[in-house]
Amino acid sequence: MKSLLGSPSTVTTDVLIIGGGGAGCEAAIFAQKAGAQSTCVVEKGVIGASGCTVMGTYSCCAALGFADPRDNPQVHFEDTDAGGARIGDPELMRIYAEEAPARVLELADWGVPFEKEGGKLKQAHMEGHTYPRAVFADMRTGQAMQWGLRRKLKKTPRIQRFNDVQVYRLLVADGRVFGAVGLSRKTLTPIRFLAKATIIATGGCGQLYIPNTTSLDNTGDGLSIAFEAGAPLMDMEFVQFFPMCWVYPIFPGRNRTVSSFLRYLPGCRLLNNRGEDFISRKYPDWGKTLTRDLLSQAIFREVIEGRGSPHGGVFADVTAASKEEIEKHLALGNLLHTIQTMGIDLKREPIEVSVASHFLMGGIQIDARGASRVPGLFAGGEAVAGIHGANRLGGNALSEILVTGARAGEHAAQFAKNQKESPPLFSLQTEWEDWIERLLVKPRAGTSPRSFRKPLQEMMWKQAGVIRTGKNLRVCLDELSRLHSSFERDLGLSQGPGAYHMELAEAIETRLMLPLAKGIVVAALRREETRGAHLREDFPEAKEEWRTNLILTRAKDEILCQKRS
Amino acid sequence: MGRQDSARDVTSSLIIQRFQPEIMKAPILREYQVPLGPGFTVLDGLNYIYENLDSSLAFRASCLAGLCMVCLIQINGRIQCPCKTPMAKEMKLAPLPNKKVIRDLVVDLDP
Repeated sequence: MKSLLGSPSTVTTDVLIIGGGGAGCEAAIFAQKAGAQSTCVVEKGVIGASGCTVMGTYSCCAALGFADPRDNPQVHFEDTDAGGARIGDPELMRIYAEEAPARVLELADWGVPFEKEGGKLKQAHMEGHTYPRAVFADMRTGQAMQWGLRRKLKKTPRIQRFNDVQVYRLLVADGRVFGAVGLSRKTLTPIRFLAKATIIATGGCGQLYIPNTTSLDNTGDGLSIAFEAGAPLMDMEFVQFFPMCWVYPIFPGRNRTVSSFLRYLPGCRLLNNRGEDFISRKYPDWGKTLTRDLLSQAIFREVIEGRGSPHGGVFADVTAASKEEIEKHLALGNLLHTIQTMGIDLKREPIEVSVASHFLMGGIQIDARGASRVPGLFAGGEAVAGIHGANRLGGNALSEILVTGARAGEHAAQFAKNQKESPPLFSLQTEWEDWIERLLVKPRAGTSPRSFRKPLQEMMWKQAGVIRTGKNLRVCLDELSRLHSSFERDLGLSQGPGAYHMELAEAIETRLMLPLAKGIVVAALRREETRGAHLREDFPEAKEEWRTNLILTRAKDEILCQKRS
Repeated sequence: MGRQDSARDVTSSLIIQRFQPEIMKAPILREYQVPLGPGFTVLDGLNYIYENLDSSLAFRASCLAGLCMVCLIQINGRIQCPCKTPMAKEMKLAPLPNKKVIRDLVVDLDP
């Protein structure tokens, strides 16, 4: 690539980890422990800060058996399997349930301040879990875990950290992965990472939808590049939506999930624009017991059928709750105070809530070692499929990233140890670099990368959101195709080369997001049943023939979608 | 309701330290007028500038919830997260002190 601000460079390493969130940090720590001579963590944002781990509000589940000695990994496995509507990978789920306790205790050893009771980790009860098994650190469990992992990572030797490097393609030869190429956002030049083993830990793709609860970085980069490199993706139709995210009024600087706490107030009602309580009749104790998928579906239906609130949600009304109850349930994170300083009186008026894309159950298909189907490519964290099946239980994500991250790190290191051959020569002038150069060298009037984002997100929410039909999904495929053509034809950057080029970063992300969006829709169209988070109005029952997984593979410009054999 | 919708002709002045080290000798200050609505944060202001006034402006953002600290900058001399700082009628924005500036409000956080 023409030298823009600096010269391209090459970094050689045993293990390359793409993504510096919870799973990425854990993978690096375990890779080093397993004997990797060199490990690179490469992050398009800031290691130990970007991504969704740091945003985790509440729970991290593990069958420690402290709160209830009847709890054990077998029960956790059964709960996870049931929660996943019976299509989780039994081996992966079992490993997860068995190893979560050790990983969580380790984090406590490393100084993460989980709450304790009587000298032991305190455990709370989350929906879908038979026993209380969620450890937590105030209302900032994810942040506490992420900061603990970051501290540990910084103390771990033989790890190189690269912030502000945006990986956009993997290095593939003879059906094997030999590393990746990332754009340094500081110098605007490519860095070629030659690695004996590569781990994808880039999270999910919540940013394909709006509203969402995720970090802005959650654009699915790792999934997209893995897919492009030949790694099959699995369960992509299973997107978890989080019910009762706030949409109006705007709660500045507050995680969209905080309004979900209103559901636990006795007397909380969800109303549509006709003032009807659309949920209590079918689910009388919904506030405490209704799982996320069913609650999301109920809310989404009101919106999509025209009975929603002015800003695209429904009304959450706690005017009947007592002042004391409101104070008690919203004391957490000073939320009530924030709401009051905005002039909102929850005893006088409702707020508007909707459903937001929250988590991707699907991802890269892996085996028990965290290895994808492509030799040399591993994955951990939200980026993997198989543990949460069709629907994730609350609290299982923050512990899953530790288990799958650690295993990917360990096995990647072992794999690297056995790699003796030198990698082939990889050019730094491929179609990708040509495309980047064209965009930068000739700034022009055109459609900005950001302009493509909202139409994509709104389209996905509406046509491939909580409630799906074959008709809407086909419309979505057409619209995606049009959007893709427009992106290829009309994209223009207004700025020439320069450090930390915002437009270019967004353009790269959008280019990676488009095929991923298509993959989700293709899988959603193919699964003609309703299961877990995937609801097909035209196929409203779960079918035994569908108690399997859908695998997506790339064939030229087509996406092949097949049942797992 | 509709408090946050009310069309008000209120704007805020954001005075931002701009610096592109590879082509500029020293930072300069540039002033932008952005709409000021109830509930608007400083980050909303930055996004408004980037989308409508000046797409050369560089800044970080990730969680939008005051948790990740990725967006940290100086706001009127105090280090804060623009994602949770309400916008006021006039504010001076600068990058974190004592760090090498990559561009505008983005500093080098590499070890």
